[in-house]
Amino acid sequence: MSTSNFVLFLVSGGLAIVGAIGTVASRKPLRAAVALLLHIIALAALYLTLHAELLAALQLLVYAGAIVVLFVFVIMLIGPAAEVPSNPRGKITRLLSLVVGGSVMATVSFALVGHTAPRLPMLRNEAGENIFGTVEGMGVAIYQQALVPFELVSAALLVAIIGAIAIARSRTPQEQAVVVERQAERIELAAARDAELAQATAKVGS
Amino acid sequence: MDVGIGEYLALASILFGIGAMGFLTRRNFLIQLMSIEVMLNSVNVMLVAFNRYQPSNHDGQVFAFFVIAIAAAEAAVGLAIVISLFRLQKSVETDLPSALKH
Amino acid sequence: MLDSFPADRALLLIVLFPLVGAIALGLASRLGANRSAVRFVAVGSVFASFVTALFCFAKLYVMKDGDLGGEAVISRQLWEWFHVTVPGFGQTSVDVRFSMDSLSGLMTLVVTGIGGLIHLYALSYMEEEDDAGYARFFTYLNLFTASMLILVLASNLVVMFVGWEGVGLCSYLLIGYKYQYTKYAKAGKKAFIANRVGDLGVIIGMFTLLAATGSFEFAEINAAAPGLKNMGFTFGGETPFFSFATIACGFLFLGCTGKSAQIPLYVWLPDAMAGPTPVSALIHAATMVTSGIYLCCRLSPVFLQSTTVMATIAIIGSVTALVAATIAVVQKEMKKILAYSTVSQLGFMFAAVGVGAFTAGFFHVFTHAFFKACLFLGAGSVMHAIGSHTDANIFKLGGLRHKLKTTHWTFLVSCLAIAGTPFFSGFFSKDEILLGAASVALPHLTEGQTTEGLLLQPWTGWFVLITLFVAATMTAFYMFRMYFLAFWGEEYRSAHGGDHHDQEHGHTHNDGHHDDHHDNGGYEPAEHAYAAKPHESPVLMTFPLQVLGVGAVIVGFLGLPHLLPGGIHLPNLWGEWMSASIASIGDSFPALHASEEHMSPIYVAMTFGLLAWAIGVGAAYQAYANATIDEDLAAKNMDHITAKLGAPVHTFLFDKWRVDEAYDFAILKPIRGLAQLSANIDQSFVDTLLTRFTAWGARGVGWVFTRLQTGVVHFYGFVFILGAAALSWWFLYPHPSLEVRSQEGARVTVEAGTGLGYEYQFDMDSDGQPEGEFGSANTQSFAYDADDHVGFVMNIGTLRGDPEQIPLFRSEQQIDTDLLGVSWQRELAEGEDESALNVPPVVWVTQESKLAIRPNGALVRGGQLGDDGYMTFAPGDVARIGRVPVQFHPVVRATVEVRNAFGHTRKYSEEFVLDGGSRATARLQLTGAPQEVAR
Repeated sequence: MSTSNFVLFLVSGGLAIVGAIGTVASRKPLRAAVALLLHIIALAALYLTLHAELLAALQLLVYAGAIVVLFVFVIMLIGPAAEVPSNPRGKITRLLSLVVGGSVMATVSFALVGHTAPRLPMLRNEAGENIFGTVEGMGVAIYQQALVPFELVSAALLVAIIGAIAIARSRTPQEQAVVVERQAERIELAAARDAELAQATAKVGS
Repeated sequence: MDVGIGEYLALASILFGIGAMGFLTRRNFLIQLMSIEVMLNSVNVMLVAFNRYQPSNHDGQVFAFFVIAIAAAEAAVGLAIVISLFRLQKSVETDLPSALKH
Repeated sequence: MLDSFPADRALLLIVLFPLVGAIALGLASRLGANRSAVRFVAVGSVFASFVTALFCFAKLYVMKDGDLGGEAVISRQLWEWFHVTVPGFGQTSVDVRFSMDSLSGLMTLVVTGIGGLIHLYALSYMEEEDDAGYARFFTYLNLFTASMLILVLASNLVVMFVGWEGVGLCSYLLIGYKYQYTKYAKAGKKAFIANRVGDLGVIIGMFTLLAATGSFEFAEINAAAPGLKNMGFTFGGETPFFSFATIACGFLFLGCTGKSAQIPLYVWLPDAMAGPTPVSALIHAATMVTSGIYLCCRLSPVFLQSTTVMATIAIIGSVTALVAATIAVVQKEMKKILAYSTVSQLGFMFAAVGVGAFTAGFFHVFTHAFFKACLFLGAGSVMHAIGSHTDANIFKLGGLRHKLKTTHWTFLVSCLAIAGTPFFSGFFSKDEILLGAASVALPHLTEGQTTEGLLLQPWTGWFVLITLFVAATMTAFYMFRMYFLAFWGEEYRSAHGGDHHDQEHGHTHNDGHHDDHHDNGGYEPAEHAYAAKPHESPVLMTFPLQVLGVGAVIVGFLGLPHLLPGGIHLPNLWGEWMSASIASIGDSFPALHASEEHMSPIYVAMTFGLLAWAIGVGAAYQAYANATIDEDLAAKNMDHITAKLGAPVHTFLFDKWRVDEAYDFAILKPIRGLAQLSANIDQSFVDTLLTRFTAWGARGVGWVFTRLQTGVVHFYGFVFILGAAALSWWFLYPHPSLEVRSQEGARVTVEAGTGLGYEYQFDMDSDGQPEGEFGSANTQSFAYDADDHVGFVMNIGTLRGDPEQIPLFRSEQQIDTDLLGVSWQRELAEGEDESALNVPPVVWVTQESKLAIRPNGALVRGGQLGDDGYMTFAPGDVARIGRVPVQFHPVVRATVEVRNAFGHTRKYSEEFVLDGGSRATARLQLTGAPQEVAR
């Protein structure tokens, strides 16, 4: 691997890590979304070092062009409520999560770093041109070898679109009434249960 | 100085760890969704990296392609849930909704 | 025409007609069908079967070619059912095969002919049933006919048993035909259970015969019969204490007592009369109950091999005949009287079988089928006439001879036949039975012969003769008692005096624990008063009566006494016809072989027979011909004659000797107690302890898991991360393992555990220098030599089977004497102290890597004792310490290094004993810690 590749790896990898940290650590969701954009662009660059040109393009198109935009759009829709105020509750749990996640990350990456593998010859077409990671190569792979999964994925996307509409659409007043009623019922039920529990506790106590 | 598969995999696992920690520690539904995206991306890095060292086919890249597609679907449904949740409780905090429990 | 259709195929049709009819009727009862179609199929199938049977029978007659005693068999094999391997005989196939010989041929005619008549009768008798019930009744009846034909035509025991069970099932179904009423359902159940007890006997008998003769085929068993006498369990003696013949016949006879209602299993038959009257006539008089006698005749050569069983059958048969007759004398209901009469007549038949007169017994089966079926159908006709559904109380009948003319004359003829009136069928058959008993009682001994050599002792004959004489007298008496009370008298008594309050429950005051009357939940068909004006039955019912009545008169002439006083020889067609299929005692069978010098048995039998008839009928005429019924006595189930017995005796007899109660006390009560105990255990132990604790456990586990369902998304995520961490650990590092796959001498093939992307590098001798590079093959072979041994073990054979593995060391170690068993010590040498023997042997490994054993007090074999006081053994040699084998083996260590796709490697070593592949139980060190050794 050439030095340029090495540099590109260092830069893009570093930016990806920075972007990821920015994503998870930002208080404001909009900043997180911007950091996620950075992360995604850095990964696209990283894919170039791995001979995944088409994938790098798709990464930019789908992630940066669609998903991040969707995030931003929702953040805009929700407005100030998109920001969750800090809550001192559950600090220990969060700490524990950090420790566990961090240690997993550390051990796995430590175990992996420095390992090399031989580079095998890349896929070529009939004309002898290198098609690994190109549109041609990927096209053959997707539309010939993985045609059925591809069609299934398109179906899944369709289902997801319809599902998203069904979940997110605003309710009619009648439906809203039902929801409110259910909520009231649930609250009532919980209250009754609490009362029962209190009674039982009192009985045991006396 | 050379970059081997190990470095790529280590980078991927670091990214996965960051995403996982974000998912576990944050209580903002939006940020948790973004953390999931980070985790999915880290898996993609791993898949593409493996494919680079076994370049006689496109299995890893095709898989990564599908992951991207599914991630898009996941983001769409996840954000729809965010909106729905926001309608219900006027907040996107994930500590609050435990109604599914019962 | 006879030749145009093969008879063996027709044989199959005999069975198939009623079977197909049963299936069709069964469907009809479910799906609904025209009643006339049901009638046509029901009767048509049986008559088609009868015609086919006649055809086969004619063919059989032709095959005999004028010689009635000749052997002729029509046989047809359908398929091989299964095969069994019998020790000592090899493989025996059990075929589905039907065969007809002179015995089964006649029985087939009885089943289809009389069965057909009874079907015809039932068409009218069951008219009142609804459509589904009508079809169901004939389904059962046809199925019964098919089963009975399978039983009769079977050529081996297994197929016969299919029919045997089939008729039992149909009997159960038909007794409980009106299953809506508890009483009937219970009667059916009782019949079924009593039969099951007997069936167990049949099964044991079957398998005994299989074990002794290696076959289920009747022909082969009978051919092998003579040998069965001297085979069996000897218990140390010269001759068998229980010969196979005794065991097999004893158990088979137990089966017969169940099916043919003999003591001790006869109790079900009287209750079985709860079934519709045609059922009583067909199953419980003419056919099924005689299958026990049929079986005895079928296997007569085997039965003749066992004196014990023959005598037992004779005594049980005659005692049953007498006991049932005494009960019948006091009964008041026609069907009950006929039921006990049937038990009694079956006793006659078994008595005949017991004294070796199989032919006579089967002749009685034949004649009995006619007159008893006729009597039952006559009783049914009476019930039909008076409009009763349950039974006809003879105290309330009377004068019926003017009103039911056809029923009357057929009933009279049958009564005359069963009573043994001269020249009626019963006379001849009963005479043959008595003759059989008499010839046992009066053996015609040749010069110098004693009674020792006879099959049966004369006293058996006398016992049977006297008992049967009494029973026959009583038979004549009670049959005519019934006849006179029901048909004679000036007028029909029920017309004015017949209040029905005393009918069924009239005697409950004197039988406090009488089961079948007040255990039925009070739910039984309502009694109602008899019709005021009895009327003759329709022609469909009287026609069978007439046919059977004529039969009851004439069929006796088939078996005329062969020899009459004055040297008159008459043709005994029956005896000749049967002689091919039924064995008899030597050449002493009286009917065919009696000579004029030995007329005494014939005189005795005839005297007894005529006396019984004369006394019985005469007494009945005197007592009942013009009797008036005392209403008070009738309320107590007595008449003016039976009242003279005294109330206790009468009650005892009326309640059938209280056998039901005795069974209840001796068998049912303990079983009920056991059931109660099991129920208690179930409730106290299983339900509370086991079930509740398990439930608590499940609830506890459930509680724990519900705690995990916090509903907090972060917690779920946390668990997910933990799982991902565990998986990544598992895939990051290889997990090697090693096992021996095969071992031939010192050459060992090992196999390493596989994993994703693993590559293996073996170092078989664990010397740090691998044999090859990393590769994907996970097996490796290696021949070990002496340098590779890392230790040694000694395998000591133990009683448990698994050898005990003991690691060996350069230093000496004592063997634990517990491993050596009891007799490990050697003999005491001269001038040696006793205590020297208590020192256990000592083992160690020499510098030459051989096992050294210093015997000390032990006896060690398999090697030479050297001058220095110990023996050496090379690896693989077997030594013996006392009786225990000891083998010496080297141990080797194999190592594999596994690398996974991430490039991580791991080493794994395993030690193997070179004894065929076992794993070393302990890590071994050649230079182990020295142990204290007692010198």
